[in-house]
Amino acid sequence: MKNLDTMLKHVKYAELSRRTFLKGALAAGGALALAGCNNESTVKTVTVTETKTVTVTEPTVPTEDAIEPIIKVPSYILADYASCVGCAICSIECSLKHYGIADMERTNIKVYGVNVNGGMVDIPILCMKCNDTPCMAVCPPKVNAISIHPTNGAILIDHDKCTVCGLCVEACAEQRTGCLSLSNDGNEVVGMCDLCDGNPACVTYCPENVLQLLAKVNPVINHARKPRSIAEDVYNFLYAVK
Amino acid sequence: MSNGYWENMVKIDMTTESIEYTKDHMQYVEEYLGGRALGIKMLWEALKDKPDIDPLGPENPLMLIPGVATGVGFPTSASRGECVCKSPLTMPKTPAGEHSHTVAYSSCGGKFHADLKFAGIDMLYITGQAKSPKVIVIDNGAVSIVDGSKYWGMDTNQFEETIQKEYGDEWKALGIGPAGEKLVRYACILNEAGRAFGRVGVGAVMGSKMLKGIVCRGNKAVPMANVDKFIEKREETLQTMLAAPVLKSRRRYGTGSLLSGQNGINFTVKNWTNTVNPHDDTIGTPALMDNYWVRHRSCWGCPVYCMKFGVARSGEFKGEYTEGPEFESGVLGSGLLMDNMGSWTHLMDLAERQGFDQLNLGGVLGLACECYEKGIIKSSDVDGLKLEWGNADQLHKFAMNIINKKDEKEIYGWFAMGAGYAASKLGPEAMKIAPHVKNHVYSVQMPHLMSNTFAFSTRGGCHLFGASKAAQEANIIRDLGGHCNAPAAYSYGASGTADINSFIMGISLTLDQYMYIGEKCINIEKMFNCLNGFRAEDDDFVDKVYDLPIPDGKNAGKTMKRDEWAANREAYYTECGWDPKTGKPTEGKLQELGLNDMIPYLAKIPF
Repeated sequence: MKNLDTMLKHVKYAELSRRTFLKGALAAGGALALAGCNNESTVKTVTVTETKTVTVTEPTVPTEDAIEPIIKVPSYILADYASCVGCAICSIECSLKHYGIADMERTNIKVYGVNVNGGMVDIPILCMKCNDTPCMAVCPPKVNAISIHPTNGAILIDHDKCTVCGLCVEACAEQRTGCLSLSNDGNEVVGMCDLCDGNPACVTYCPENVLQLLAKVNPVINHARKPRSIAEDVYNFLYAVK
Repeated sequence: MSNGYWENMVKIDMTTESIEYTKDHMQYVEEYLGGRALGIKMLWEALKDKPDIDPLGPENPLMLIPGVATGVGFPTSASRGECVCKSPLTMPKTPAGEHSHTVAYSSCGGKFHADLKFAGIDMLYITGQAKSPKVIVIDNGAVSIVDGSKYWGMDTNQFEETIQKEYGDEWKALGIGPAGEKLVRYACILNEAGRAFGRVGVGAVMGSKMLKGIVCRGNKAVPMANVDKFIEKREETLQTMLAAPVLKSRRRYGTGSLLSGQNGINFTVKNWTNTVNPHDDTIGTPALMDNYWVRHRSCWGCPVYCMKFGVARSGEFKGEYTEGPEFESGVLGSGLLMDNMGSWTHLMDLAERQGFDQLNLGGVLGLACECYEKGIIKSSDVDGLKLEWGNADQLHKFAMNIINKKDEKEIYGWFAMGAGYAASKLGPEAMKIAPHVKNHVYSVQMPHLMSNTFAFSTRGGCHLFGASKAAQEANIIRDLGGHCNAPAAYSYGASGTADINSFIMGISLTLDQYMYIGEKCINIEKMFNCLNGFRAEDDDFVDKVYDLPIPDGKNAGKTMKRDEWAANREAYYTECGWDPKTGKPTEGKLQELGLNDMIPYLAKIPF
């Protein structure tokens, strides 16, 4: 599958081959970010280096939900949950870039440290740039504050138009990860990732290359999962003895 | 002056369940800045006229203080908090009263402390004693006390998981395990499955207040004096830290790199008897890399993710997993002659879930094993358990008995009080081999090589106190800012640490002025300890350290001599400006440090 190959190309192979204990975490964990989206999947062997191969789970794209991507350029930030270390440098860099201060209220990427029976798992949550954009769908037509960036595919909110009715926040919380929220004072919708004009700070600064900027992959179902639900999968992947 | 501070301290009285938002701490901030120094000053003010209070009683204040740099987003200084109270664990040889203990200060990483700062709270000050289990809930600054009965008895991981399921995954939970609930004196307070206020028994203090835990979420940006300087220094420091060789090693192996790195040099094997680990091939760093660790984990905002999680892949305890091992976890591994990762995991997981301090637990179990080997403890004394070296199953059961049977059976009660106390009850032979200073078990290094920091530490045996007067003062710059030890030491150093504190608080202090604050803090700690009867004789080691030279490894033959140590101690006291024979701070020194209000208390010191 093309997207999986694209994603795997971003993984640091040099590191992977030297550090054996990261072998599974990086490659298969990346697959898990994708594979978690649906129950049907196939197992295939991917050549990592000339001498090494690893088995990864390749997702099958659900045909019903498959919508032709509107944007052809890389516009989706994929998180390799199993190798996220939870440092939250992405959150800090994001808010520094947008607001000039480490502000966990308005940052567009949040890292959840989930305790699953003592196995800690860190899940970065950010706007998934869903193809069917439930937030945009509920935004009242008269307001029309949410739009898609014509070239980089980011979903943007126009704060001048926005009436802070909160419908998009509700829609995201009910149908998707819930990355949107109202600010503490209730005057602003926060958490909408603008992709930093195509050069995301979180991807640049991630010290473990957990975040990758990719073309959209139609992972609509995956977007509906909450941190703990993803964490439980990652927990089974990391801590179960084969 | 208020930059870096919300000017909001929350005073909680567990007895009356009253919650008060005050600015009481701000009067000390200018002089003591924050963290450990601020906490120690406030502890002194609270207890100076009643130093003999019961540490497990309602009067002992439990303070949680995020460092001044915590939560601003500076790498490595981003996430730590300090816990200050009177210790229930440490003990002098000659008590001054019924409850003679040192000060307690303990530092903890993770994400809780940053969140406490984001919630708009500078520090928590908890006194009193509830009648039934309680949990303190902090929702972005709004503090409430809720019933905690349903959490009582849970292990630390169950507690955090239950809280996250009930409140939401963005919540952080800092709590005690059964060891803290049952008032085992070396219980710790944990969050995130492995980050702990480990030392000096702060978990027992929390348990004595019937407080299961503190749960918190917050998201406000921390106020800062000089944002431009912060952004400039942050980028620079981040790059320095990513490039520093020692930190690269920390990133990959954590402090676990020292398990093999210090093996045969400065490491403990078999209850501080040897330094060469005979099972390094199965439980050394390469073995951990190849067949144990599955992921790294970081405290908030830190690019040196030194936490490792590992899973035992084979053997009796196959499938058990835990955070670690870190270097200090070695006390439960090679310290007890464990030969496989499963056994070691079994005990690390026990400490983490039940809420034991790993070092003190390791010291207690090491003492128990050596006493069993020497015939001081018999199987019949401990319900038929076989306390053999490397027998993780039996040692696990023994540790559980310490929690559950401490009030029923005398011997478990002794071991629940700490290694030194247990040895004093087991007899003179046991006293020779208990690995402690002031009833506080020291780290996994050999006391022969770490004598200064182990003995002079104001909280009992401790490797992070500092080996010289200058190092001790510099370490307080670290502790008051919430900085982490190794990353600070290997990237920006003491002057860099001081600089970070300065631009966050908007102050301009020289390094010397910071060291002066450090010296004041140490003198207050020393005064508190002296009032509790800690003398020069307590800055000393057990007979084993003097009798047995290091038998093997690179430092084989290294000895400690009593007369040399006494001379060294006198020289240190003299350098500190204290009485060279007794270690009492002098009137001249207190005057020099501007601590004139403490001079009347010199007369109250019982020696």
